[in-house]
Amino acid sequence: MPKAVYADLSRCIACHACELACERENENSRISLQVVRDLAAVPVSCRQCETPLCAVVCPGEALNYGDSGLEYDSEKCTGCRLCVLACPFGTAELRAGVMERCDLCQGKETPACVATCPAGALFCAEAESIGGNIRARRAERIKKALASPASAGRRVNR
Amino acid sequence: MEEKNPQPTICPYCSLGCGFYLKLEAGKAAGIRYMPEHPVNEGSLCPKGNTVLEVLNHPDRLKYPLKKTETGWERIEWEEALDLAAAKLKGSLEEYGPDSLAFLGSAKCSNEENYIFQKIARLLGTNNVDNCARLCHASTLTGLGKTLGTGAMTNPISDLACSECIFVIGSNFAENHPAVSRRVLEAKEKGAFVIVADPRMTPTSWLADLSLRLVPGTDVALLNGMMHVIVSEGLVDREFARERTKGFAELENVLQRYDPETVSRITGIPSAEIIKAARAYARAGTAAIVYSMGITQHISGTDNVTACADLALICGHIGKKGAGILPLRGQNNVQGACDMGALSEFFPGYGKVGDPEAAGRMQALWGAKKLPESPGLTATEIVGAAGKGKIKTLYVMGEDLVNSHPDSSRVKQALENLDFLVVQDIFMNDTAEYADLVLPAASFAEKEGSFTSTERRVQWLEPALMPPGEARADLEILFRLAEKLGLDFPYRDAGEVLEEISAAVPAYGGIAKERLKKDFGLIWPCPDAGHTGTPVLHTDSFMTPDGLARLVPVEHRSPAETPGPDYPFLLTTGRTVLHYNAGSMSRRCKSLLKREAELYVEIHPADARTMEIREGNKLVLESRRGSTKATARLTERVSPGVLFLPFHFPGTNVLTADALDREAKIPEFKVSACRIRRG
Repeated sequence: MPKAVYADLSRCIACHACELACERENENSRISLQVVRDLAAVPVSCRQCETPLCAVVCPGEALNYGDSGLEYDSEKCTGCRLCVLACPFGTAELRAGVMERCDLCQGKETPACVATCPAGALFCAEAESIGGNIRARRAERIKKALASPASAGRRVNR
Repeated sequence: MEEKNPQPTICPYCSLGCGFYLKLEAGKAAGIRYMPEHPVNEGSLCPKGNTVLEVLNHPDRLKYPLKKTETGWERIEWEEALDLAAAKLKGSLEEYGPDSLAFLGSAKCSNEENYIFQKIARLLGTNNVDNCARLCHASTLTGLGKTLGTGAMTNPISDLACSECIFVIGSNFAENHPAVSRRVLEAKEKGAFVIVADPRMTPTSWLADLSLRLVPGTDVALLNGMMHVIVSEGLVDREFARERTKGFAELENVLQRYDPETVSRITGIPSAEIIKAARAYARAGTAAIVYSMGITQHISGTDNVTACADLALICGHIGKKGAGILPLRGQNNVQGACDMGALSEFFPGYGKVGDPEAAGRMQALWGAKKLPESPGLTATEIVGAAGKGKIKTLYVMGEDLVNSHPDSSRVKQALENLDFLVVQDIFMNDTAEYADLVLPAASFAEKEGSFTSTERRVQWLEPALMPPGEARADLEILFRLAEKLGLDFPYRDAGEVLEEISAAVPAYGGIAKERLKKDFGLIWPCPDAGHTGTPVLHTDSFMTPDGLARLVPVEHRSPAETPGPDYPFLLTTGRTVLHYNAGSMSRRCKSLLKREAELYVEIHPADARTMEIREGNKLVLESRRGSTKATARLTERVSPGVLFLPFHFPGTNVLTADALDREAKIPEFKVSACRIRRG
């Protein structure tokens, strides 16, 4: 299963650094941050779907998917925007007749958004590993909280 | 210039001192590479840091010296410009005396530039030299100065990762110092308890285990209330209080009046939460206090800072890793500008003006016959004095007074009243519009020098680029000005100035260019060439004459201006993640402006409903000083009755008042009374 950029929502501070880094590297930002009810923020970029709807609906075979992931051939693109309509996450955009979406900063070791995130909220991982990651982190935190005599009660008066 | 590509550099925005690389192409800054090895930001960068190329390559950059004429700005040669500046300074000096001159240094310029700047002012015979620290953390210098002996952050930022409790009060670091978040989150992963006290619900509050939403201007009450609980529940670190502090009895006496119920009535925070916060902070093995302008920008700013210090001291949470008091400063070199004596009451190294010994030391070092003996006017007082005609010539290096000082209309009148105004900057800002002479300066990436971050880390910045047009490094401009003024300066470059700084400022005694170029600099105090720096202050003794900290009781005082029938709303101001200070850099970045284009006002939905205000409505805000327009943003981030304006756009400080803290002379930006109507 392909890797994608995911966000740990408990860490995201809505600073938009991911958007600005992506915009600098790719001219337009391919990740967008939504603040929900002023209480949390959600950065969203291409989910790198296993069966990408954008490619399924592409009439001109500009978008193709296989073992190496999604491939895009701008020569064959008719600019029909079906991919934009089909993406359930709204992460495909058509600009000047070219479909743009997150390609994980091809050629870079780490996508710019992940590298720049001041809160360390973004990470690039395979989809099936993230549920386990989050559960493992939670468990670790609970273990630590239980192991020490709570950050309470430590002080012994002298 | 050393040829390196990519060239390591330091972010010019906030005070964290984050490192990154500039990628160069044909002498232009063409890209950014992150720097995972940097100890502060570990490769990360905030949105402003990410857009720094837009500042460097901006077409608005000032390229030539400009003189104001009747027909507009006229491009002149450097020689003429500096002759003019020197003649005007000398003219005022001869006709009206040295105190008719004033100098505003820059927290965005290097240590060497600020050092030379204040030296010029003092050799001309005036202590009227200050910097914008007066507007953000002057109360940190006074409050921590009288309690701990020095007004600086006690521990490095990375220490927060080792804290068991982090108490954040009046700091929205998630927006204003984003890389601090990674350390706080690191601590949380280890089980730390995070308390955030802020009148607004901010992204920093999202990280809190306990969020305390206090009424603006009631910080002393909250801090005293927490200390009351700590004392009455026997959570005081008695050994620490006995062995390392003085004044516990007097403090205890004052605290008696601040029981949780009384404090709850003043602050609006339920008493149970005050007790919970007090217990969590006091009981933790290591606890840190993080504060910023929510504490400092009040008429009680010094008292607020003092109360933070008292709280840390009675719990013994200072002088060790993971503990301490962390004031997050605003600008990339605000700590350094203060260390260099770009302050009206301090010589370089914080020797007090008026102390004959401190003056004697500087006189000997500078080979000066006599230095002015009485403290000069502060930044805020300089504006007042200019308005009254007492200041004739003002030299501003890298600051936009019009948008950063309170009561903009009064600032503009004061600037118009000057005989001569010189502004040295990288862009034409609203203050420069009032200038008679504008000098084009080099940006951070176009010059060399040392910068001191909020954690006292002194880093060396190397030039990556040539300045645009005829723009020159501030240091070079000052060298040539000094020559025209007949001052005999022996230095050829920043490295040589730093040599003199290490003789003038004891904490910089062992700091030299070659040492700073390695390992991301040194953290002061670094008294001699063999010393490796001091990340944690006050480990064995405090910087007071007897080595003991002072517990200083303080009382809650109401803000200078509170809402009433004519001005029913409480207006508070602050920062937002996508812009920076007066906006002369961030408002020139298209990618930032696209996301945050204009002045907005946060208003609680309940207030908006009563006044039939909808999201996006244009509102007129009025205070006793003026009026401004802003777009309504309905949000529960603010409480009912409170309005919030970011101060990055012209207009906000038209409304704010110039009520000053009596010791630090910092204006109360955080509270004023205001009314609104549909525009």
